[in-house]
Amino acid sequence: MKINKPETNKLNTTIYDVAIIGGGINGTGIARDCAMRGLKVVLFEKNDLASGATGACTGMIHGGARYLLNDIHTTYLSSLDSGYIQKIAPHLLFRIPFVTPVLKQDFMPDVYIEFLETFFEAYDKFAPLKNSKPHTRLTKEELKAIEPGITDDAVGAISFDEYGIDTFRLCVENALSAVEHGAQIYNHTEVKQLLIENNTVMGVRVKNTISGETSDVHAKLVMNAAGPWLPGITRLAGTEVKIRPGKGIHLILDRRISNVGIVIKAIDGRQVFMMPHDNTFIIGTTDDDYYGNLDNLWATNDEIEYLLQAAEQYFPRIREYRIIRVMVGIRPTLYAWGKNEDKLYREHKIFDHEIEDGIKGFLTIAGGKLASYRLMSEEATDIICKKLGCKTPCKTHTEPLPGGKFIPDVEKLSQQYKLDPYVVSRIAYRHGARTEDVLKLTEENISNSNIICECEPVIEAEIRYAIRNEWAKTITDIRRRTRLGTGSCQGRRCAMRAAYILGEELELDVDEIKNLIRDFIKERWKGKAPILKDKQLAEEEINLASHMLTDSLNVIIEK
Amino acid sequence: MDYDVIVIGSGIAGTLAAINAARNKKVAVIRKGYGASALSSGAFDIASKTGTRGRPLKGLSTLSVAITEILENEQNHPYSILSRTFTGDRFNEFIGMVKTVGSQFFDELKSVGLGYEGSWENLMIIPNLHGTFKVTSFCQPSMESGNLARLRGRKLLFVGFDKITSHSKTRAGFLSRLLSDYGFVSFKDISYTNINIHEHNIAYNENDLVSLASAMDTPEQARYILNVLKQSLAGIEYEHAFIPPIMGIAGYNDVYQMFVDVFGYTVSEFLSSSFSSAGLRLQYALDKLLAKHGVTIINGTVVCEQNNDKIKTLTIIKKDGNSSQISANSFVLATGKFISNGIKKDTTWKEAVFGLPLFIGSHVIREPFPMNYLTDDPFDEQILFSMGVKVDEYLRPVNEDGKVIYNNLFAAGSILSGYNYIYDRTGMGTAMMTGARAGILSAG
Repeated sequence: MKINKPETNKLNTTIYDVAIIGGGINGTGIARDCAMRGLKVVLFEKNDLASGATGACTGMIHGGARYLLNDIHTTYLSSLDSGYIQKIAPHLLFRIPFVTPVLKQDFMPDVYIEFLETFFEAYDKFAPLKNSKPHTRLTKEELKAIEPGITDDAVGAISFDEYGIDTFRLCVENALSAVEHGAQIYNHTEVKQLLIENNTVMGVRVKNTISGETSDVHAKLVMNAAGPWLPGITRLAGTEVKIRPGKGIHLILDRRISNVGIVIKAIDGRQVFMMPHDNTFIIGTTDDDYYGNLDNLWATNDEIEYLLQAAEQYFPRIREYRIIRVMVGIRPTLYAWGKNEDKLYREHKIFDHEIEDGIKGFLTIAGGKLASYRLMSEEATDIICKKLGCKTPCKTHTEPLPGGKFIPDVEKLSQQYKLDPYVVSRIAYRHGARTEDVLKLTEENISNSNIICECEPVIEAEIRYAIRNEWAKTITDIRRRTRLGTGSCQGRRCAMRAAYILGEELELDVDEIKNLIRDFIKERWKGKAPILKDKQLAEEEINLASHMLTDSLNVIIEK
Repeated sequence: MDYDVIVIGSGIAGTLAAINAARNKKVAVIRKGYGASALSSGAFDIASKTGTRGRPLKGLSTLSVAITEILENEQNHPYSILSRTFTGDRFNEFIGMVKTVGSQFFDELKSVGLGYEGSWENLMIIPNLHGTFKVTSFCQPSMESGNLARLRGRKLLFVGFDKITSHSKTRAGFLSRLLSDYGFVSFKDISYTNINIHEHNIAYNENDLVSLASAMDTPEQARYILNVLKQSLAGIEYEHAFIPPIMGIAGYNDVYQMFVDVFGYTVSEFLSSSFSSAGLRLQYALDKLLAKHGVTIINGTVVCEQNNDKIKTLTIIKKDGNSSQISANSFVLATGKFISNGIKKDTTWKEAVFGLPLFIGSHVIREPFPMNYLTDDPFDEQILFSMGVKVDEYLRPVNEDGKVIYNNLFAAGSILSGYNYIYDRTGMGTAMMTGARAGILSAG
């Protein structure tokens, strides 16, 4: 098996400047920044890039409107960074116009809409920083014209403008950029131990979770960016950073059911978003303290009902639509006692354990939010550079990510490679300037133009590209990078096709391929089982009948 | 009365009910579209609860053993319920009835141009398009000829089509290893080849195997594709070849015959799951059977208002929104489970037409949340999929107290509770047995 085989010797002999733990947006963002400043970087992720909090978030690069009232500087920095991210990853961002409807049952709706308008007038000042349009005030009729599904109880709305992003691709792009600048990235590689001598962290002991191979890796600094898992890492150093893990779920619908994003209020007054995202629709999120197993997350009936009930107030027919999945994640929120979940700030903090508790060579980053990932990475890298005596300035806000260097000509490429323009446009969305690198694989073998996932659609070439160049080692890894298996059938037909491609690329044996398929079906099941109803239940009857009856995947042999 | 018997649903259970009642009665079928039969692999599972968790596969047990096990151990299974009306040796009598009803039905299908082949004793192993295999009892002849249990030791060739469904070394090797793992059969050699078909002048949608199969319904196109295949396979050494299921839909009988004329019985089709050519062939044959027996087909959705102990009329809502009333002496509910919306779930679970109570085992379903009936491992048996109406030995739906709800309503097929076809592999068998019986009972 070829998984993570290369460079084990190199790992053992090199002394890195920084070893980063965690392949979420913080870990990959810091890896990119450090590598671009000339540091020798290695990153370890126990599961896959963006497989934790990053992959389960709403996926918005917003300007931080909610900080406007008490922390205007944060709004300024967030808006500025939203503008930067648009410049470095233009292919990955999509504009989402939002409306905040005011309902007649809201407390003093006439006053509330005035308040909202004043609020968004203030937010308009930051709009140019992030290329957003200023707010508008919509009458009931105008709102209905934009969004016919909205309740008749709406008396008007205020609009504003934000951006959405594919968080998986953003992480992968940061990791790819880090590699272009000399970094090494290892997913499915878990940090089991910190190597500590004289109160100084000298490196990490890592274990490949697929091959079981263990290595000791030496580094001048170890950066703990493990998100919700970070307390486990600090415990390895004999110290503690407390977080307040907050569970959040999103419902995912099979299609875009509204033209714009809608800001709604849940029964407890919390703000929830309903918005189109890629070719799906997202409703979320919830926010509840979580004390369970971080590696086995399930949505509860109460959480699902909470979101549906909120959505129903604004979009009365919401229950008739088809929910294909529920996505669950844990926020690594900074610790605070005596506050409601929703009142916790989305602030971040970088702990230098030399100052905090006398452990040298060890840093932890906690909290934060996706929209300001670049800024947080810059701050963390500044601290790292100061400790290592590196004076190179940050360039992550000006130098585009690998796919962001130019926007390819989809029509021309689809003619050149004889592929459906829609197929090419989806690849161009995910790969930007690297689109042609993916398409070139179709010249290698005609089967590389086969459509493997029909829902998205994803062709064989993109899957091979993800395996060869983007660290994909499981079907779920491929799903994160390509959106394979994210449509309404949730991978019924494409999972096995993808497994054989992985088998070929990674030289896997039959048992390994069988396990890949089983793991993927189990992983999808977590998101499907809690929401099964109507059409999705019909789909699931077909899925199970296909997998168990036709494909005999549940047949067990006695050896 | 407009009709003697009205059957709701036209899958396997509904069709068997209709043609059995139609021997001496005036029958109509109401349906809103095609259901699970059309989406099936087209193979007929009668019983083969082998290899699932807790019951590791030690080889292929025979059909009569599998049925006997069900009659002994599963009191709520429709097989057990049907066997209760027998007074003598209920095991042998029931197995005898399965063979009689099944053989008659396959004869019926053959009379409208769709053959089925298989055995009432030994199970067969058919390779599928996904690189694995299916254990089943009966298949269409172009698939049955590929029964791997009979091809032991042969040199096999897997044929794919570029840009639709292509084979690779890994995929061919996967099946080969799986089969020898399972101790079924071993092959000294499985090779593969991919044929370029998309650059030929054939009218089909790219990536859509069913549309390629439909193209074969035109004799001219069929001859053309057959020729391409013949030329492509000419230089390759093989003893038995498997091709994707493209031997026509409506014209299957003729296309299959053309293949036999050219290749003898050395070319078989892979089985595939939905949307499969074989499932569509089956549905097409069912429609022909209904016509042959003079059953009226009405397209529309059925609603039924509250009745006392007898159903008299149904309201049919057509696609254009118009509705009409229709009356009959007795009714057969053969609406299927979730795929065909026989059961609906919004805030609660509902039997879609009459609002009958739904059961899992002997418990009425009250909790609306699916996770109460599912485990966290999809490879376990999921009892949610055994949900359905509960019936007495005359297939009349009963309430929680075991009382018959309507004297003139009979239920058949996967709307029934008490079995889980995904895990016990009795789907088609149950549909045939309960469908035929409901048809006879409803005709009085």
